[in-house]
Amino acid sequence: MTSAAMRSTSETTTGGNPGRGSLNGPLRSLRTYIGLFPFFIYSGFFLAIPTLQVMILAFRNQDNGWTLDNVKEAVAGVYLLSFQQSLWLSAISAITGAIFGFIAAYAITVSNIRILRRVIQTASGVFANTGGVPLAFFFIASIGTYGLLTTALKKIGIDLYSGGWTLFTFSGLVLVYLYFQIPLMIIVILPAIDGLRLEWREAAGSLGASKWQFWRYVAIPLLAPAFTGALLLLFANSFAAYATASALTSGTIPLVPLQIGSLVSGNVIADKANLGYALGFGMVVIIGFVMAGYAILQRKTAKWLGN
Amino acid sequence: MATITAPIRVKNRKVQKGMTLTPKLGPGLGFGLAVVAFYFFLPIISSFEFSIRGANNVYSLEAYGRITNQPDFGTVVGLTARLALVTIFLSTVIMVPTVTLVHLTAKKFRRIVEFISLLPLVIPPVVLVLGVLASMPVSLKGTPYLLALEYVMLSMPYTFRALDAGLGAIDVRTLVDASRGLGAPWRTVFIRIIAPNIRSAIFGSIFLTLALVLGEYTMAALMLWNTFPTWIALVGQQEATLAVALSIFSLVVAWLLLMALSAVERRQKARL
Amino acid sequence: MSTSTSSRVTISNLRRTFGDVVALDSFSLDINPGELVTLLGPSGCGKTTALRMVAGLDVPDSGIIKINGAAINNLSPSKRNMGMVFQAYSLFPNMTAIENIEFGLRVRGIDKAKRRKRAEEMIELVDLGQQANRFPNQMSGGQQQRVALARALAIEPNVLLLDEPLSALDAKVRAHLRDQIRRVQQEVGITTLFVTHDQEEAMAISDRVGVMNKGNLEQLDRPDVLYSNPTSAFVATFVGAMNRVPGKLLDSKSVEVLGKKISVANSGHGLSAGSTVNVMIRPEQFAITSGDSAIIAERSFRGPMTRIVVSLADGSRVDLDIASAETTSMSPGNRTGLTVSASSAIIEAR
Repeated sequence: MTSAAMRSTSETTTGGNPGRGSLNGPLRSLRTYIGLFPFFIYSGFFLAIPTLQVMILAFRNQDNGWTLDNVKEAVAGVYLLSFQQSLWLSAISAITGAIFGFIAAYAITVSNIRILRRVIQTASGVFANTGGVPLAFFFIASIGTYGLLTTALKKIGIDLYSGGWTLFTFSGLVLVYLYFQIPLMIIVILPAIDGLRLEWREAAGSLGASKWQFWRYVAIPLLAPAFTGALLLLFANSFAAYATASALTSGTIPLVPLQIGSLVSGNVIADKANLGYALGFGMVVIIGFVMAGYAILQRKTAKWLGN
Repeated sequence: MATITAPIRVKNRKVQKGMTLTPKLGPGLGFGLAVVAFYFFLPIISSFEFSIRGANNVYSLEAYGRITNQPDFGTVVGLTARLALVTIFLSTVIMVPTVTLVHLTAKKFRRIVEFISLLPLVIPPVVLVLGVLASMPVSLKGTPYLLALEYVMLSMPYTFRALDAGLGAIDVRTLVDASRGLGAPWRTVFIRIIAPNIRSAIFGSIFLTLALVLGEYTMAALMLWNTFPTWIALVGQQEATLAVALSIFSLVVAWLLLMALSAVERRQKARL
Repeated sequence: MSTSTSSRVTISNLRRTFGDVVALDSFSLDINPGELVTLLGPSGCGKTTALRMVAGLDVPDSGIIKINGAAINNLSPSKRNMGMVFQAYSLFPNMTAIENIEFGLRVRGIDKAKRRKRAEEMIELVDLGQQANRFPNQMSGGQQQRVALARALAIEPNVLLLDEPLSALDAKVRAHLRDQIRRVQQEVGITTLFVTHDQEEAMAISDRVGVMNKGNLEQLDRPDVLYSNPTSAFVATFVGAMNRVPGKLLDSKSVEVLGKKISVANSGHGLSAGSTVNVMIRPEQFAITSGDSAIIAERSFRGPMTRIVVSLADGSRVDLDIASAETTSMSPGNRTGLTVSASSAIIEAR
C-alpha cells in the first residue's frame, strides 16, 4: 500500500524530479520518450498490427468492402456449435480445475510442510505449461486403449471403455485440460490463501465463532473475489488453448481455435477466407471480457488480502 | 461455562491441541490432495513406463538414447535454440530499459506499458498467428525468425511482471539519486548500480522466456516451421515410444528450468 | 457501563516447552476481579505464551487455568467467553467497523436490532462513532485497535486479553491509546491481562505488573513497588533506567558504594564479603557533594531534569538525573563529588 501511495504522489510531480542537473525540463522528457520508443514501436508492429488486421478483416468481404456476413456466418451452423462447445469446455474445465486446484493449494498451505509446498509450486509451474502432443501422449499412455491404468483396471474387472467412452470425447478432453488448469489454479490462488491471516481465524474463534461460521462470514467472502477471478482466468486459458485440442481430437470435436487452425492451414473453400478473421474477432471479444473481469477481481483481492 | 471442580482431570493433550484454532491438514483435505497427486503422477509414470518398455516387455532406456540420433534432431534443436536466443536477446534489450525507465523517469507511462504487456494474454496465439499471416510482409514470413519476433510478444506479460517486481523491490529511485548525487554518469548508474540489483529479475524473465519458446506449438505449427515442439508431434505420428520418450524429456527440461528459476528467485529474496 | 462480570483468574503452574526450549516454567498468577495485570518482559520471556494459553489458542504441557474457580483447560477458545485484542491486523477486512464489532454477537445468534444497538454502544465507548461504516483499510492503526477493543468487549467477556496491542503503532498514538484502554477497562470494570515489552506502558496503566524472564515470573507487584523495590538485577534493569556502580561488599547484607554504606536489597546473591560488586543505582538516586572524585563527561537538558553523564575514578560512567535548577555549574570537564542517596540497592556480580 505504501509503494502505491508513493507511486501516485510522484506521478503528480510535473516532469519528474526538479533539480536533477541535465535531466531538467523538456530535454529530459524527450529522452524518456525516445527511451520508450522501442517498446511502443515493437509492440505496435508485432502485436497491434496483426491484431488490428484480424479485427478489420473480420468485417471485410472479398471485394474489400465492409460486411457483417463473416460475423453472421461465424455464429451460425457448425461455427455456432464450435463456440458453444468451446464455452462449455472452458466452463467445465475451469470450474473443476478451480475446485481441485483450491483444495490442493489450501491443503499445502495448511500442512505447513515447506518442502511439500515448494515441490508443488515448482510442479505447478511445469504442468501449467504442459500441453499439446506431449500431454496427449501422457494421457494415452495411462488411460488410452492400452494405457497402464486401463489394463490394470481390466485385470480387476473394470473396463473403462465398456460404455463406448474414449479419451477423444468431450469428457476426455476435459480430463486432459485439467492437467494444466489445476496447476494454473494453484499458482493463482496460493497468494490469496496466504493472505488469510491466522489472526482472523483466532479472532473469530475467540469471539465464539465455529469453524463453519468463520468460513461463512470471513474466509469465503474474503476468498470469493480471488476464486472467481481465478475461475475467469482458467476459463480464458481453456478457451484459447489450441495445441492440446489439436493433438487429441483431429477435428472430431468442434472448437473455435481448431476451426481457426484449419482455416489457417488452408483446409477451406476459398470464399470462406475471411470467416477465420471473424472467428478470431469473436475469440478476442470473449476473452477480452473475461480478462477484464479477472483484472477487476484481482484489484479487489489485493485490497483485502494484499497488505 | 464448565463447572468442573477438583479433582481436575484435564483432557488428553492431543484432543486439546485439536481445539486450538490453528488450521490443520485433516483427513478430508489430505485425501483431496492425494487424489490430485495421483491424477498428476499417473500419466507421467505410465508414460515413463511406456517409454522404457521395449519389445517383449524388456525394460531399457534405449528410446532415450535414440533421441539424439534422429536425423532431424540437430536441425530442429538448432532452430529452436536460435529462436530462443533471438527471443531472449530482443526481449531483454527491449524490456529491461523500458521497465527501468517506467520505474525511474516515466512513471506516468507505467499503466499503459503494463496494459500493453498484458495484452498478449488476451489475444490467443491462434488468433495472433492469423493476424501475423495476414499482415506481415512476405520477406518476414519467409524466415522462421518471425516466430522469434512474435515470441517476444508472447513472453511480454511474464517478462514485464518479473522485471517490474524486481525493480519495485529495490527502490530504484533512491539508488539512482544516491549514485547521481555522488556524480556518477547515467551509463555507470545503469551498468554498475541498477543492473546488478535486478540480475535475478533478468534471469527470471530469461528462464520464463526460454520455457515459453521451448514449449510453443501453436504458432510454429500453423506457420509451418519445424521447431522442437512441432517435431515431437511429427515423431508422434511415426513412432510412439520415441515420441513418448521425447515428451518425458521435454518435461524434464521444463522442470530443470523452473527449478533454476525458483533458485534464482530465492537468492533474490534472501539478499533483500 | 459495567456490563461484564468481574471474574477472578487463577493460573497455576503452567508449563510449556517447545522442543528443548522452556517457554514457560511453572508459571502461576492470580488476577483479581476488575484488576488490570500486565505481563512485562523481553521477547521470548513467555508472556505471550501465557496469554495465549489463557485464551485457549495454545495448550500447556501441564498446569491449570481457572475462571472463578472452574477449570477451563478443556474448553475450546470459542467457549471461553474471553475478549482478545491482537497486536495488529485482526479486524476482518471485508466488514465495516460496526460489523466487526457485531461479529461476536452475530455468531451467538443475537438478533439484528439488539446487536446493532450493542455495537453502537461499544463504538461510542471507544470514541469512533464517526468511523462506524468505514472498512479497516480506511482506518489508521490506532483506530483499528480501538475497533478491535470494542469488538472484544461487545460480547461481554469474563476476561479481556490484550497481546501487545500497541506495539505496532507510532509512539504518540501509543501513549494516547494506552490511556484510553485503561479508561475503558476501568469503566467496564473487566478483569484484564495485558502483555507488552514496553515498561513505560506497563507502569502507566497497570494495577500490578509481572516481570517475566526466560519463562519465569520474576516479580509481581504494583508498578511503584517494582520501581523502588526490585528484587532481582533483571527486574531492576528492565524497569526504569539503572546504573551499575562499583562497590565493595562488606557482608552479605551491606555494601559500600561511593563512600556510603547501604543495605543490600536482594538476598541469596551468593557473593562473598570483600569482593567488588555492581551496585544498581537509579539516575535520580545520586547526590552531589563537595569533592572532586568524579569528572563530568556529558550534559543534556531534558526539561525539569538534566541528564549528566559522569566518569568515576575507576573510569566507569554513570548517568545522573539532576533537577535542572541545580546543574548550573556543571559543565563537561568540571570535577564534582558524588555519592548515593539510596538507602538500599540490588547488587550483582561484577
